[in-house]
Amino acid sequence: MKSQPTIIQLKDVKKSYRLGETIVPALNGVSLELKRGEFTAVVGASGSGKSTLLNMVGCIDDPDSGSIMVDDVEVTTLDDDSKSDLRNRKIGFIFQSFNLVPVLNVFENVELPLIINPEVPRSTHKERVMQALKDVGIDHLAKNLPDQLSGGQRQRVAIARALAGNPSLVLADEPTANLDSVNSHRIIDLMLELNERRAVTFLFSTHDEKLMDRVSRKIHIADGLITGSRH
Amino acid sequence: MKIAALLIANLITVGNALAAEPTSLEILKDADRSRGSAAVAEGISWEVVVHSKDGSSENTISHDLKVKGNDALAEATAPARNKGETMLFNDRNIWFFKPGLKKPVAISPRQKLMGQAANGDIASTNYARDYDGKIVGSDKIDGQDTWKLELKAKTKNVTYDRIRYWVSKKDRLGIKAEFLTVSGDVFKRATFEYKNKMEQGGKHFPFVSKMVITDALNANSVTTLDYKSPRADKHADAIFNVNNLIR
Amino acid sequence: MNKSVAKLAWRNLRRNRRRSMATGMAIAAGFTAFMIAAGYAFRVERVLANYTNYALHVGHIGIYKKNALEMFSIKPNEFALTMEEQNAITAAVQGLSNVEMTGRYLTSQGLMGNGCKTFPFVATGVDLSVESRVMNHPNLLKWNDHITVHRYGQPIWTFPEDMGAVALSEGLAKLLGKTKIHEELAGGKPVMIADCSAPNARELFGADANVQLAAGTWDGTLGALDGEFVMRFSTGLVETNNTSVVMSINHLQKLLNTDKVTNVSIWLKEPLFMSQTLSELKSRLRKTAPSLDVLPWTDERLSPYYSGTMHFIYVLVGFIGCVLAVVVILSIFNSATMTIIERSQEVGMFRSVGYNRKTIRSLFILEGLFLTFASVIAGAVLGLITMFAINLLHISINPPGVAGGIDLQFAPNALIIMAGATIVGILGMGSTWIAVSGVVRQNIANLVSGAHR
Repeated sequence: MKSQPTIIQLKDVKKSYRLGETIVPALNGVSLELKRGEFTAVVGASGSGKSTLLNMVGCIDDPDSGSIMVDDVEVTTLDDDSKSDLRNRKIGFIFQSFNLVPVLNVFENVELPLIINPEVPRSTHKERVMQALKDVGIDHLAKNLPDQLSGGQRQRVAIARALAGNPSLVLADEPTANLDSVNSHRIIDLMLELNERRAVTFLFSTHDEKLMDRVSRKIHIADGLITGSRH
Repeated sequence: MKIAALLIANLITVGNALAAEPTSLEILKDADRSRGSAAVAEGISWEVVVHSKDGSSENTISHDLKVKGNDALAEATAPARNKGETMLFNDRNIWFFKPGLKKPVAISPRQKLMGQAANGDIASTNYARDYDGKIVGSDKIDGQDTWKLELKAKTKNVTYDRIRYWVSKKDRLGIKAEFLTVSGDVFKRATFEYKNKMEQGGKHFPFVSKMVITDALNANSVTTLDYKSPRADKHADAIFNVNNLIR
Repeated sequence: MNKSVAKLAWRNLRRNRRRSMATGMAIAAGFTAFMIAAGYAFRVERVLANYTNYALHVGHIGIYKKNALEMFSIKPNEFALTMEEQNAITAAVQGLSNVEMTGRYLTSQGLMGNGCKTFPFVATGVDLSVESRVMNHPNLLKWNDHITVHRYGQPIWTFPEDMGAVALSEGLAKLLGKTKIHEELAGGKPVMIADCSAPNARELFGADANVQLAAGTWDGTLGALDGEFVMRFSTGLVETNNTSVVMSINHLQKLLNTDKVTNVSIWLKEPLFMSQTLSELKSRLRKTAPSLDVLPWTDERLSPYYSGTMHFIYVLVGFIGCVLAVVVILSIFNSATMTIIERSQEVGMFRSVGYNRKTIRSLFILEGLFLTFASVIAGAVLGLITMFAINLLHISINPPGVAGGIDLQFAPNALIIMAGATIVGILGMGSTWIAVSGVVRQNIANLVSGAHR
């Protein structure tokens, strides 16, 4: 593989949470580098720190210490609006529980990130959204409401929404947790296909070992520390 | 025995004489006589000039008075703008009339005539009829021994609610008066002079010549009533009929 | 972006229809109550204001001798306006574009007789030419059309000045036994009553319209004049209905033997600009007649019934307004809070795809605003229907100081409705802002995972 530029760089990132009287360390000094175009899974047991790691990378949580660079931008020094802007332009999110807006149809849900992106003219929204829907194979469902879709279809909508803005990085936290095994495999296959076709970097968390065969890189995490990283 | 009986009889007589103080009613009747209530059968007449002064403003009106029993007729004679204005007193009722008016107007004796004088002040005074009197003591005023009486109005339709009246013991003439509100505050004071003479039944008695009324709160507000030429006169009853006011 | 956020906000109202309906109905009911209260208050204010300005001759500006309001009744001659002062006022008013008309007024007490008995009266002497303009003023007739119902007879200005026409309040006319007015006894001569205690005396009182007025003149003697009873009116108050008289000011001045007046009243074309006119007038009179008080009609001493009644009504409407405000705040806050708790994960999603705090707030505030305004419109429609329905019933009420009472009528005022709607909107926005402020500050990861609950 050709050497790709680093898109994500974490250096000695620490994060802990207060649960009542107890301080629970979630990340104990994690350092990590991700190259552009990688399809990487973060694997670990429940409570190992996978979600926390993804939250740090996605700028939806702040570390207690350490440095996080996303596309050469040190995100720990950004204010809230700047982080929102970064997420909108460079990062796509796929959630375990899909998080679709029930009063908006499929098209409108996918369009959500484009609405607030000043770099995307309104006239191009339709093209982009339909392309994203086509990429995930549900362009024929553009006018449907979320409650008219199956679980797998809803997750595809979520993936389309994540891709609509042409992000550099897509983060998926347990994207198959609410899907059956058939759909789980389909979603992972889809993500792989998008990774190859669009050269989008994927970082997702899972504790399903059966999905591990497809990934190009696996990062093992336990007790808030990376214990292994294999291609 | 006889001498003792005579002595006792004399003592009783003297004692009776000493104990015969006049009643307030008797005092008032005598005082009223010199202020116009003389029981002259066919009537009395006099003139009264009312002069009021309050600070820098002054006013004078002259009236001709005709009195018979409880009735009186007061007609303004000067100045020209007041000439012809008439007040008719029928017992305690007073009517006011002026030339050109279609009907007379019933007015109150308390109403202001001019300055400090009320309508009821210019006609004859009949405290004995209008007030319940009580002798409350004696005072010496300008060297004269007087009875001090407290008078309370018998009805609402009289000039004053309460009067404090000093009547000389020697002549039974009203020397001084204080006019009080219902609550007992003095609002006017008056003094009297009796330089006129009036004849009744062949005898002469003093008649009021001047009444000076002063505002109790403002010594600069003074009204003087000068009574002139009191005389017995003949008055027809008809002149005291209100219906005859409109000529 | 705003159009899309607005579209989303509008769609979100349908997510929990029951809650939206309940919240909307609470706001609508509160706004209906506010509108009815405001419509009533507005009408009463207009009725009383115009009655005070015109029927009670107060005008929009009153000019008195200094301290006259307290002292005139005790020392009228000293605290009345002299001819020089009246002339100074006439000169000062010249050229003031906002002045519509001025009128001189003289008040006095006295005794009125019917040939047998006298009764106390309080007379208002009026400029006859001004009086006709005042009593026929469009503002008075618009808001106080009931006033003509409680007057019987031709107005005094329609009679020759030298006739001595007087208008008597109902109670005084009754006391005097004057059952008929001049017109009903046309050509009748004064009827003399030989015996006031005769059984038919009362009947004879009503046989003519002639009365006598007596009063202490201002130069210290007693004056009396004839009057001709031409009109009967009601003052609306028991204490004044037995004593009130309106007559020509010239006639009253003749009775009192004076050329002075109690006050001058000034009516303005645009009462809204009263302050400016008042200020200009004061400035002019300061030089020519410094011992005068130039007062706005809203001075409590000039308009006690208006001031007292409106104070009470404003307190009442203010109370209802506060209740409405609390209803709006609590309803919206409650609704917004529950909505936000239910959609916190969705908020997390929006934040994660790049929506900042401001945009999230706008989304919820717009939702609250749509709900509020839809409710306000519903409340306004219901309020208007209710008001018009009550107006049609013509229910009579008797506020103090108004002759004969007035119909319970409501007068919706567009300005008040818009102001109320704006305030409700602001309260709604504020409540939502407070409710949503907490969630937009929360950790996005917690929101997305649901761990914040």
